[in-house]
Amino acid sequence: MSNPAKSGIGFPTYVPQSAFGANDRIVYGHIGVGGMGSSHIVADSCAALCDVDANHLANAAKRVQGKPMLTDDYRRVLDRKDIDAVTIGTPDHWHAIMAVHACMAGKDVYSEKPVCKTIEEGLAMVNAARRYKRIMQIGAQGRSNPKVAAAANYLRNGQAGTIKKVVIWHPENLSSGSGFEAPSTPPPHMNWDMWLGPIPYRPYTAETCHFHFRWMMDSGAGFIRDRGNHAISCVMLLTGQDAWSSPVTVKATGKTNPNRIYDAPQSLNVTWKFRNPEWTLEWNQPGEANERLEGEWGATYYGTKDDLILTGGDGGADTEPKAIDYVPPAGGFKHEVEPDKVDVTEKHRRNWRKCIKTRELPVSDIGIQYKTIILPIIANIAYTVGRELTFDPKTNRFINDEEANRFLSDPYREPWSLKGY
Amino acid sequence: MNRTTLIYADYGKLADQMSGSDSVASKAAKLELEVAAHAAAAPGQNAARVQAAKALVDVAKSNRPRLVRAHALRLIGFVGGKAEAGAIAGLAKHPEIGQDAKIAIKRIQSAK
Repeated sequence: MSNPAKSGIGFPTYVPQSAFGANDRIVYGHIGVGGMGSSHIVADSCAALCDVDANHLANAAKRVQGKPMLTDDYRRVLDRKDIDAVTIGTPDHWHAIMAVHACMAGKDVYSEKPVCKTIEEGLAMVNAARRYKRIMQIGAQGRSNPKVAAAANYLRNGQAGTIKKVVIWHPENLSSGSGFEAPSTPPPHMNWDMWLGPIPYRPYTAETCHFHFRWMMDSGAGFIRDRGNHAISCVMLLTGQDAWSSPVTVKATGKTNPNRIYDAPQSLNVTWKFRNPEWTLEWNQPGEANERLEGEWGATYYGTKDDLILTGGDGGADTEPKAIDYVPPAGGFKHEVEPDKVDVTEKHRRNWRKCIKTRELPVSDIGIQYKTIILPIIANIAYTVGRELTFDPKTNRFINDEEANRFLSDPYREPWSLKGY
Repeated sequence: MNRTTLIYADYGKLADQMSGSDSVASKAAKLELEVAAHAAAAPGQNAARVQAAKALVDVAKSNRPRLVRAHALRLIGFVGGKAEAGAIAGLAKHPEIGQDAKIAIKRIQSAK
């Protein structure tokens, strides 16, 4: 059963009371409702649920009040005039297309990390948000985390001096072990062609589908772009480099696991060298936690006067007491997070909802996150071509490497296009 | 992995290895093809690039399995030029690898 419409899952008519008008109610459509996407569901204001896995749809529908439209085609969600905003919690290769199309359809967007796969996609997302005047929050919720804010306040007010080097440590991709699963017919609850969408055909295997899509270059590209979106988003906030604009040099080496299908490098070491100001960022996968404050992943910030550790940087994070206890001076830098006593991801969503109403830029706006995601994207390109590259963020191109520039966009399988649907 | 540039015949041998039933050997061959193609496409490697492109076009047009031919087409997108875009244009209507051929042609056409 590849199409829920043909499989007994109904499409009940649902007419919400109001799109945020008199009662300020925002009506949502939720696209991609397995995994993290399921956490974004607003049970009492959901008009549509979309997923290519009918099991995900059925589970999500149980949590929603009323009878939302159920579909495996996000375009049907965007067609609904009564929906104000969408959340996107699909695998990476769908984020940009859906987000751009949602903007064209007049919807505000909360899209999960990582932002996108390619430079072309990231630019298209920024352009769509601006052109259609849409609020686009990326689910890099470290920017709504009070511990991240404390670390940012400490460093941005010069307590460690000038930051010259940041070293991120992170475990290897979850692609160890051995064995190759034989391709099979997709399960009846899965629309595999729609799951693939814009990426080239590959046969169905469970080991390359839910969650594990992350270890395939076409659909995930490893922790460097997945968790890396969180980690590097924090780095750019803490160093004040969100608007970095000078060419950056990137070098990457890694190894895949020869005994599994996955082609994203299981281990990966990357060095980015920035100019104006000069500083270095390292990604060590695997890397060693700093013994002063241990965590599964995190970063040490080395300044000219002091250093600071931030572990995590998504919904979970921790930093050292000197940063937690630090009080920014009047007129100094202060990173604000939503004050409500809710978990970090909910703070992040509330920031988005607030901005939908105020039309201000959200804390993790697509413009900021595009500049973040450039770094893991170009790291994977440097790994793939096997040479050091220099990327110019003003032209959004590599300097003097024609082949590397062919990675700037990843042409889609037909009929998919960033231009519309 | 050794990033030396392969000669024409090596691409065919690796494509055969990738076509085999030994999954570990097949994956190793796939990655070696990728490494070689990207090394050949590096700046200043025109002779190697031309050789790689010709060999990969022949793999794409062969009767090898779908995923092997699709992989060759993906790599042609990076090493190929106008000549290769023309050489694979006929594959664009192929029922299995037509989309892969179109993607490769679009990638070549995106080059400035």
